[in-house]
Amino acid sequence: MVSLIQALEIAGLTNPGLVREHNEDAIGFDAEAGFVVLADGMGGYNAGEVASGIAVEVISHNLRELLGQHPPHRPLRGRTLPAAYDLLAESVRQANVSIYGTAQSQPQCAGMGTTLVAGVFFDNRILVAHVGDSRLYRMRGEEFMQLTRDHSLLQEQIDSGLITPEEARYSANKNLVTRAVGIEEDVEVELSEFETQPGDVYLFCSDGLSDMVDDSELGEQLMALSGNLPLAAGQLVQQANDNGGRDNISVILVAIKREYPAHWGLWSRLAAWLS
Amino acid sequence: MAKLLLCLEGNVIKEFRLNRDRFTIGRRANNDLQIDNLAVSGEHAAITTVGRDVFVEDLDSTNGTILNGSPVKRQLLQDGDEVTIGKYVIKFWKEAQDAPGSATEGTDFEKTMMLRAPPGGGAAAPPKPVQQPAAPQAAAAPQAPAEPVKLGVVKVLTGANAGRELPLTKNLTTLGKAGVQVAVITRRPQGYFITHVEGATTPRVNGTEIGNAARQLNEEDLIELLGVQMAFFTH
Repeated sequence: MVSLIQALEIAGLTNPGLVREHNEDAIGFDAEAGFVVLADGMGGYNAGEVASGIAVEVISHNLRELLGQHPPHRPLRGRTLPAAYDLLAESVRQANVSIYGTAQSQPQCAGMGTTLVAGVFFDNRILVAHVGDSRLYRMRGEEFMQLTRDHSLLQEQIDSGLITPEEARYSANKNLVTRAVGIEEDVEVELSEFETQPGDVYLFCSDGLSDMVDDSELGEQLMALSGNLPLAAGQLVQQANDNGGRDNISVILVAIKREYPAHWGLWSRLAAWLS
Repeated sequence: MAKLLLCLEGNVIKEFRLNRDRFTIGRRANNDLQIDNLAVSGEHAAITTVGRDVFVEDLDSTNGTILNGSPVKRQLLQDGDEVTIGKYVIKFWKEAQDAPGSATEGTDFEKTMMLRAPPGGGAAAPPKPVQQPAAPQAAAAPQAPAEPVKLGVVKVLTGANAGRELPLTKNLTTLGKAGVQVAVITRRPQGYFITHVEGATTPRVNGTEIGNAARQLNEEDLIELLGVQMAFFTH
């Protein structure tokens, strides 16, 4: 069985940008366990940093522990979807509880929250969880596309045809999210699964990148530099700063170097017989 | 809060503040702005506010709603836009500056915020500014450097492509062969830079390997990559 560390190459960077005093973004990743977490905090004073920091800490800790105990491709007892769904959703919920609890007990943290995008790689797939406007893009060959759909006022307006994507570029509503982690007692997590292929490059980013650099330019730069992931991450951050760096900028790149099929073994044969 | 200026033949007749989500314009008396003129339909147009965006919408009027000279059905308004209804022109202005003293406003620009106020969010939460200082038009969209750098050109001096010129019009131009040796030239506000991307050796500039750091290119620098010599110029 191919271990994930042989199949995934990951490079990540977070940068305060040119305008903000604090970096309220936080990132975490682990190629061995096969996960990535990126959070963009919000809230007064430094509460945004606290929220995104808790999110990355709690989710990383949980996933590292849980992915070691449960093979992510197999359903948990009594469940039908692969365990990764339950583990990832549960990790985000725990982060929500932790941020919400801190916000309730610490007056200076009241109202804090964070957007989130997190991915778990297993069995030639990626399962992505997202809340808010942090994004996941995929580069496959010549094609560069956004895989997540923002939970934002602007995206809702685009979806309902109230504003064209062209007009949306000039909208003043770019920063209004409709969901965030830690704002309420519970959080609605959107999960989506995609098959991966060797050669794919996945870009996780905060809006400090996607608001400053056009999608077409993101795609072009990623294609040009996919042979050198740390350089590509650095170039994207630099481009966002060259365009004004108005917000914190976070980037995590994951390149799929080879296939990483799960080892189904006896269980799958049993399942095949039973089905 | 944005405002509308109702003008007729170049004179401002009245000023309206957009203090509601939907502001209607028409001939009938139930409109927020009544224009008693036969060229104006009973319910002619609406100005709707969504978050910080303001739209103009034609309500299937007989004579249409014109935005900056073109008929519209529904469109996002930008500062200074002119909506024409019959003989009347309605100018749209976003709120200019906040009250003096709100010096911290600038740093909050474009900060990610929840659309709805969190329920039960303690009173200690700092109030979130809803209005922002009007930004220059280009600020919301990715923008080009204020002063564009002079156009750089790489001229191939040796090999099969000798004599060819490669204008560096994009922010990023790659040189070399994928899997063998690749370098990239980036265009930045400070000028052009060359960086090694992949390959066992790094490109040479004026005879010296550049290593893994980005190196700024100066006029007439000599670049060597995969045995091909190139010169860098600006126009």
